[in-house]
Amino acid sequence: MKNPYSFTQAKIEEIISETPEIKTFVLKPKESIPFATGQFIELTVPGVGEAPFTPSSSPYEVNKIEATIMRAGFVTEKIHQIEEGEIVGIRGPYGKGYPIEKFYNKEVLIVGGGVGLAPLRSFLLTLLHEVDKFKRIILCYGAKTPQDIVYKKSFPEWKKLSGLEILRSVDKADENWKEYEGVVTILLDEVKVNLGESVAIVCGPPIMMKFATKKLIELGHEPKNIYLSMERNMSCGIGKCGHCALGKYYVCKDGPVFTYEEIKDIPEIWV
Amino acid sequence: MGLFSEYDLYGPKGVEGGWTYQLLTKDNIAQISYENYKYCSIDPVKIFFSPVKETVTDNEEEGVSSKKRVIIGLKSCDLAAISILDRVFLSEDLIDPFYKEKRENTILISSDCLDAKESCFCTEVGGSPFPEQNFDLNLTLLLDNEFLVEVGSEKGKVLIEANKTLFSEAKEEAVQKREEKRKGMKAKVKERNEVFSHRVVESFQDIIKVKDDSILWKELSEDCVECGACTNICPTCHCFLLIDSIQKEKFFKDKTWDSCQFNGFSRMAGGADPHDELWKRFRNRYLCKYSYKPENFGFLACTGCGRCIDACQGKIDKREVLNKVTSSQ
Repeated sequence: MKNPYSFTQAKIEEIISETPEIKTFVLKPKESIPFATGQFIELTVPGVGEAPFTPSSSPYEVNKIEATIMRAGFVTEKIHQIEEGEIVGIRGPYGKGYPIEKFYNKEVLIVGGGVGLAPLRSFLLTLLHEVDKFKRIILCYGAKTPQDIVYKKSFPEWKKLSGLEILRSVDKADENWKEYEGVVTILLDEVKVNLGESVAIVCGPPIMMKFATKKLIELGHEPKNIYLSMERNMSCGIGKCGHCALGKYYVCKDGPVFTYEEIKDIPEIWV
Repeated sequence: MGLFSEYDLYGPKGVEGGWTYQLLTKDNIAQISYENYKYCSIDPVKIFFSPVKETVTDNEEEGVSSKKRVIIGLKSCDLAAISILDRVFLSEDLIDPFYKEKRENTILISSDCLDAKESCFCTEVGGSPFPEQNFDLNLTLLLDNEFLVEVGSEKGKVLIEANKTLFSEAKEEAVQKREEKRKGMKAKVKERNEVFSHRVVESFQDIIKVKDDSILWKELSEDCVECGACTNICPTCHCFLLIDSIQKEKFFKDKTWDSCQFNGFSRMAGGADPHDELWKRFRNRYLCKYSYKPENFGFLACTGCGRCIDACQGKIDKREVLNKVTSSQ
């Protein structure tokens, strides 16, 4: 029987500096690790510890996995000190991803904040892979400042794509910023979607998720059509260690993707 | 008996304040107190399947293997706990091979309770002071050195077959006698708990779910010192921490017991913590046992063993907490 606690070795092929606090690590695992978009992995710094990340790369890219990681705690601090060529470990994938087929023939509104764009990038790349299956794809992305925007190199390419609409805002603009200024929820006022025919996919810091969800509800989106990628302290990845409890769920096996309908009555969901 | 050569045998040994499970040897087996092993041991059954600390790194030399074991004397509340542990560690495709190995290699010989301690409340959470599930063999003491044996599984049957000379066909009156004893013991536990007006636990599940009463939970958790004794001693609490380390250039991952009562248990990178206050952690233990687990598994994650009541440094009686929560509705 496979040991769920053991990891596959992966080489760090490339490190892309996104912002002063965020780096994308391009990982090449010894054996390929197929995943569905929205599922997460445990990234192990051998002998140090592990932390959960949702890959930011497309699941169609089978030989490498990218993880976009913000320096936020003990393990991520260590990860940021890693250099190209070093070996780390990957366990997983774990949990349930986005139910892509349910989104066919719908307008897909993606709402991301900060480093929360990481799982959404994987999601977006998955949609773009079969872009004709979706009525519309709209990406609303907010960051603190223009400097804090991740995937700066990808946006110009994405903007050229015909099936994708992009709106971006920053909380605090600089003199070169020509897009929206304000929190990401202001973008939602600009987007007119067909409510009966749409889904909203939200990921970002808890406070952003809270207000984005609130705004979507105000605008008439149904809780069952709002998909949230929840963050908790996922550790074992297989629903046993208890650290990622969210009400009766364990985020690691029942999530990390939930509809707002599923979790709206659980206390402290926006922490 | 030939059991010693094939199995590690564990049995209850009397110590101050109760019994603990000890590895039996030919030298100490005489000191093992079966005939006065009255109610559950101090140590919960989970120590046999999810030990306090174990290494879960792949180890090519040893693999995942454990010697076959027989645990003798287990009480009904611990057997009930195995249902929870099995659901957690053997669920669907998410099997923990370390647990599985130990579980499969263990024979469980249980026994009826001969008495109840003050904190026993199995009858209030749907249980009984006699085993009804999860045993391979069950022993009911009828007279000195006379036991009625019930076979609960194939494993138990094989054990009987292999030691046939020790057993004879049970007589109807022995079964009758067992029923009388059981009835008496159940009545005793019920009587112990009469002071607690448990509006039993099915209703608790509904009540606790709609309730987000921070004032009540703050009051209820006032005496909690966050020692984690309740979760450590609980036979159904299964939460653990994974710890990575390097020893002599080899990587290790250890699984150690953890407690949702500890500050930081649910803290994420960046510092956000859904259970950042004591009362939230305290409430979580009740929600987990009486609401979340029943919703997920269809049964409570409390077997009424009362160990958490005995172990609590703040003298918090869980039954009183349950009462207060349900009656304040």
